[in-house]
Amino acid sequence: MSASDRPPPARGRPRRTARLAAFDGDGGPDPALLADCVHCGFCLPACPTYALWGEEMDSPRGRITLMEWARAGEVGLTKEVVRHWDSCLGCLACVPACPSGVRYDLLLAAARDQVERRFRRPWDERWLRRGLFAILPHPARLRAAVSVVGMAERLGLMGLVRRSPARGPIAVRLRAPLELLAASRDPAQGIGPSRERRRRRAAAARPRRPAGGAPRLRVALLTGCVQRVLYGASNARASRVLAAYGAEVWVPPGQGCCGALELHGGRTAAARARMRRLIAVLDIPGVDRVVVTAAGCGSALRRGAEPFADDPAWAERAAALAARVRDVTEVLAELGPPAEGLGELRCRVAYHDACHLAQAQGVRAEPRAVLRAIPGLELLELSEPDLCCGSAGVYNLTDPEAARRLGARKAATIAAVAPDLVVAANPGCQVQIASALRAGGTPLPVLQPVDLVAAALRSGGGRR
Amino acid sequence: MVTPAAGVGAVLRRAAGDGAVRPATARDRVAGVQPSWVVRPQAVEQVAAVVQAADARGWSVVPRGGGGGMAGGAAPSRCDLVLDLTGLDRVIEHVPGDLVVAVEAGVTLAALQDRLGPAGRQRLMLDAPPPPRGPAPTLGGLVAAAAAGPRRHRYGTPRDLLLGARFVLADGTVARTGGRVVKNVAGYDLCKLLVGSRGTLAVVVELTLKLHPAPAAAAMVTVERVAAPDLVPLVALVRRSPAVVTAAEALWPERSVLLRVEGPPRVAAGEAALLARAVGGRVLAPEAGERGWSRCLRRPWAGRGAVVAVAVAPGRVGELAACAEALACPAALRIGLGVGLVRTADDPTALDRLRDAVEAMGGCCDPQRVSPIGAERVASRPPAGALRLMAEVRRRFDPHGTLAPGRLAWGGP
Repeated sequence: MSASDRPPPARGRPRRTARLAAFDGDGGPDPALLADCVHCGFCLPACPTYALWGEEMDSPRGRITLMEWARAGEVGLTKEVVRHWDSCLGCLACVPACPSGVRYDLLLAAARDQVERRFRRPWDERWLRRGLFAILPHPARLRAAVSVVGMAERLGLMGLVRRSPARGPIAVRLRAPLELLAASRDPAQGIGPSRERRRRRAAAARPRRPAGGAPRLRVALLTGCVQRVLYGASNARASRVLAAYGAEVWVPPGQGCCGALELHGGRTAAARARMRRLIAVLDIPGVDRVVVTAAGCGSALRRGAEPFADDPAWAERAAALAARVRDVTEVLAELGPPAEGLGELRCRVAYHDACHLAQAQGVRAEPRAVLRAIPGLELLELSEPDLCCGSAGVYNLTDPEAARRLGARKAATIAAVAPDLVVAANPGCQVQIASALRAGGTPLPVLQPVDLVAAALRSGGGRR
Repeated sequence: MVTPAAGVGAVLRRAAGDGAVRPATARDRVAGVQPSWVVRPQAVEQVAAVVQAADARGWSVVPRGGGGGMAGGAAPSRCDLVLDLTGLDRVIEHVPGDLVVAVEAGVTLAALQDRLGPAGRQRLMLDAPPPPRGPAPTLGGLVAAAAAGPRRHRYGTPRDLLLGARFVLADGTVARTGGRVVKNVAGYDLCKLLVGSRGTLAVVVELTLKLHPAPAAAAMVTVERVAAPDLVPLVALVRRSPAVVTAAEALWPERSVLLRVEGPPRVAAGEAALLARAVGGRVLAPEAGERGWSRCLRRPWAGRGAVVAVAVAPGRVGELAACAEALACPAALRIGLGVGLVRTADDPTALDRLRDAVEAMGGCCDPQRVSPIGAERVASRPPAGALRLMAEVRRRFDPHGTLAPGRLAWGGP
């Protein structure tokens, strides 16, 4: 076994209040939901970390067992227990695999909430997490970070970083975000005639975009936080494509982060505050759909009332919003392509199922249908389609080694079908896969589905 | 690899049974300190087993009755388990002929009165502070807090009503003190030590209490607009009157004095008329009387702020009233006894002012419902020599500091 085959070391200790009990009675995994698990093991083959390490405790079944023990006071909130929960990507591949319908997503969120409140991580992890959550949900800060890395790339400093001999865990941790940011250039730039860049800011600032013809649907576009900065052009394209497909597109101003990253990381209180703010912004009368271009945001908003279990007023608003949230490809599939048709795009496209689209929202057919409608486009299916790419919120930053191995595995399955480009519906996946492909020596652009639809519109009859 | 060790939960469940253990929530905090587990045993043996297990492993235990006293008071230095005693809710024995009742500590005052009312027309003459909301106060809790209301004028406090007790010591020993008769003390009267100990010496699990015949009727006499200096002469008039008064309350800032007479209907009415003549007041109509009585019971608990019990020599109760007036604090003063409850802002300046004023009168303050920081400021300290002795007593009862360590606001061990 080489060093990288092993899971990360267990570190940290419970806070003083968690000395005798892993969980306090406020929240924590619901015993009724825990009891749903019959420990059959169907989830094991679906679990990426079980695939990596083959350790029972790094499978959903093992993690649920740990939650049961922790709930009953059989184990404390020890660093080993927390390590097993932390290693979970939250990809939710186990949820559709479960024959008993265990809500692992809810259980994991509840356990992580307890960990974040009651466990003290070592200083470096603490600062890393603090830093990530201080930057990622704030577009202006993230934009500054991106431009710094871009400048470093141009000055050739990133080569130094890559060649640096430091291989310790902290060096790996510091390198991961730099590598990922360097891999996050707008991948669609070279495809089709480009007048994007000039339009990009203007489109984001323009609140409403009239539909091409009589509006068949009024939609509000969620700009997202990471999405807006790394793939803002995709947002602009999404709003143009939606307009071409016959929707009236609003981009409500004043949108912040939806809290998905924090929810995923167990920072429930902060996530709730963000969700409340966003729900207030998106609660516009007369809007039929709230369109999301980032699968992570969509899955968080579609959880609806569940994060607001103890707050009935907001639970109702969240549920009302959740009922209107759709992924952009769902809306495009619903509207159907415009009358003037799509232009030809001769390319082989590998489609990656983003976990939070396919597993969490159950959206698998629509993006494929939308892409297959483009003439000339050959859609390629990957082997192991349900295996997470390793992005998983901030996982590839907090646990870069495991994420790298999953990314390499994903890159290999992509390389095996020899595509011209890759499509993934989540900015995290895009960055992760682009970085993994580059590391594997087969750099390919990784696009959002709407990027391709926009390119097809431009090369075809739609002249806008 | 993780294996289920003999975890805390398992130990507690072995001691108290499966359904008795749950993780603590934020609502279980003791003066702001978050415990880990709440254990709610159903039997005395289970209490003993839990306390013994905790003592052996160095876990601290805070006993809890209804929970009304948990928000205030000094913050415990450690708080691992909350021992919820509301599961011990049996009335063990009621002997109407002897006017005594034996109950488990988790019986609520209201439940006991309900039980006694129809059976022998008897009553435990203890007024509980009205709980803001949530569970009703238990008898164990009232004894541990030495709580008493307006009727203490006639019937005294838990100190006078508690005849005997069974309690669990820190090492799990179940001990008994006192008995079921009024003259019963062989050896030291440990009951008196347990009253007001706030769970720091032992966990009281059973109580034998003295009862009184339930009065069939009551009448209220009021004297309005009493000046503070007139309170002491007024008490002298009350004492000289042949009427037997069960409560004599001065409500400030209204400056009204309410006197209660209880007994058979004709006796109560007659005594009230006598009393009104003697003190220059008037007898209240029954509904107005009940309203006045409920004001006595609720003052000064209803409303935000710190509630502090104050005590001075009975002859200085007029000064106490003047002090409450000067500090603009709502107060209910038991004028016959020189004690009372005062409500003030729960901030250090206000609490310091109150304590300084009371101590200048030679009195002392005991926080009843005060934030943890305020409680330690306002609580009067026992004299240094006594404090040393008390620390030694505590050490003998609970050598490892298992039971509610740091819960005594007066700097108790």
